[in-house]
Amino acid sequence: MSSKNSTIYNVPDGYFEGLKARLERIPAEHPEAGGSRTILWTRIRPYAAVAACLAVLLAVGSIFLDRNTARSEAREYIYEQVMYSDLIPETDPYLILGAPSNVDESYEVSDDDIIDYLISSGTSAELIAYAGNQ
Amino acid sequence: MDDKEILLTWRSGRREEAFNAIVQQYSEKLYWHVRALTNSHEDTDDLLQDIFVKIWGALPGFRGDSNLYTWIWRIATNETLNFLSRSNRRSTEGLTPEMEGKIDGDPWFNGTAVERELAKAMASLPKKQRLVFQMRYYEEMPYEDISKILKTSVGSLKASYHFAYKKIKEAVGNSLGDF
Repeated sequence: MSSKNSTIYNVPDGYFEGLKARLERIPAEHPEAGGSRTILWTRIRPYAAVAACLAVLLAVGSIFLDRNTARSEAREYIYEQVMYSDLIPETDPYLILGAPSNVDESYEVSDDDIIDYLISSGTSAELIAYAGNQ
Repeated sequence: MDDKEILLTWRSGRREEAFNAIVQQYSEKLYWHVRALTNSHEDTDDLLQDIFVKIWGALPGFRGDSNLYTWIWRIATNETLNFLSRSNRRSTEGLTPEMEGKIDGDPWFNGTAVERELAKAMASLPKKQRLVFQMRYYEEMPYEDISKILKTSVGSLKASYHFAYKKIKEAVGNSLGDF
């Protein structure tokens, strides 16, 4: 492979000898490139592969555990909600907050209290009227 | 040392020796390749340093799927095109005043008036046509090798060369008469 350019352009005297000498210093000036990187990589490649596998296993395991823990916590929370909602009507501040010490312990639940509770619990007026008539 | 021996030397672990063989084998040829694209001795000198640093850095990844020399030419061509893009000398099609000034004022130009007009006409070509014309006409490289370097089909390269030839003939003809 020749080049017609070499007849069109000149270069300074001794240019190519100087250029080659300069380019041959590149390996010494850039030891991080070239061979050393390959040798190092070849040496650590098996360890890197094992480390990568372990990292993947740890990542997958932690995601699995996190999900299960979060699911278990959510389940516990729902159980608590269901349990307390059965025991305490949420709309009755007296029952939620507990009876203050100055409340009359002999207080009895009236029909109005029951009707208020039934209305607040979503029971329809027809059903309350039906129950009241029975 | 030919390409096969260079690669054997590299694989045997004598990496600097292999690299130095590449320098001895290719630096001068690459100079002319890059010189025709930059139209500047100083730019070419700087670029060759960068190109050989790239070659030294990329050699560990060379798998031997292609010829060593087409691989080297590919690196040199890409590096030169990146340089030209960075310096905005080929941002628009056509011969820029800056490039024309470089060709006219090049102290190392040793050609005839026709060859100077040819250099200007080449500088005005679109990137691909310019590369194909440079490698085919000036470096007398087979189309098959240019195809591997530019990753383009031989048919497309022939078409590019044809259009480049027509444009250069017209441009030089306008400047100097018959070509």
